Amino acid sequence: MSASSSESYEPNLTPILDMVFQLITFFMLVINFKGASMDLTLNLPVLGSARPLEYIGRHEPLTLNIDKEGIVKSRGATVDVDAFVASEARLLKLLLDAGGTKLVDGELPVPVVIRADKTVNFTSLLRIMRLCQAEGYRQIALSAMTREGK
Amino acid sequence: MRRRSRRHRRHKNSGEAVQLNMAAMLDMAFQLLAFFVLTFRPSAIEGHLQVHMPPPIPLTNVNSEAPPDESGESGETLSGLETLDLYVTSNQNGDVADLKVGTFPVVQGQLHPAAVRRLNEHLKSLFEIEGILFDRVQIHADGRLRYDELMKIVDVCTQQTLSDGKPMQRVNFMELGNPVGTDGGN
Repeated sequence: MSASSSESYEPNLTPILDMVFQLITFFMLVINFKGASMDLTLNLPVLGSARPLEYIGRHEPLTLNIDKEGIVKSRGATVDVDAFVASEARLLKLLLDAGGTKLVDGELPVPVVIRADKTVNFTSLLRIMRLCQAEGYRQIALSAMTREGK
Repeated sequence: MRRRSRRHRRHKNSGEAVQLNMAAMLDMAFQLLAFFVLTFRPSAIEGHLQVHMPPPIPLTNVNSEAPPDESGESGETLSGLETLDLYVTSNQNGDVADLKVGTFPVVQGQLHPAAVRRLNEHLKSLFEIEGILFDRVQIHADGRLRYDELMKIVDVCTQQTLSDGKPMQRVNFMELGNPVGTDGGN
């Protein structure tokens, strides 16, 4: 009797492993690496006709988050927008040059995504758009939520 | 027969259930799961309005008339020949107070859905006029105008179709009351 009670009983781990792998697969498929460049605390305007960004290129779009005080953030950090846009444009020009891409009329073939809080005033927004334009960014994508709620 | 039975016996012995140690695999799987759960951020239901801000064109506008005096601008704007000018003033809260296309008042008061429809119809009628080939819109807005109000106007502009059938994407922005030379001069 004592011999039979000392036998080790192992639970069948196969179903739990199956379930865990299913969950891992789900999270791997829905993971959003681009989310890191977005400030999800911003209250974007709602516009039903807003569409996903139509851009197919090797270089990542430049994302600028503008909060209601007009402070610009990129990749989670507050930036000096003048210096930041200038350095990003300079870097992109170097990369394009190295890749043999010629600029047409000095226009950078990469869009700038402007994610501004809906209460940001036009003066703040215009200043940033003009800055991007001066550095060669002419494609501007203005972000909005396609429906209410997050 | 004997050989067969030996073989069979050997096979039977080697075919005993081999139990894998699942614990290590499960540990790793849980680690991966924890990572994905902690880094999971549901993707926002986010879209964009794409505009193309063309380089400056220092030409005198002949299609759009000079803006009215109350807009705060002088009549001498520098615009492209095919530019349609919109003048937007706002109230203290940043809402649209008045919107003119050239000198024609289209919206008085807030930009309600009905006013947006009216603006859309007006722009559509202008873009359909033969002989006048607008290829860009220039929005002259009050500095207090809120981003969400501006987006409604940009949305209407980008819904228009050019004479060649392409969507209107060339939009430029200027601030009302600012001298042209200081804010880019398009």
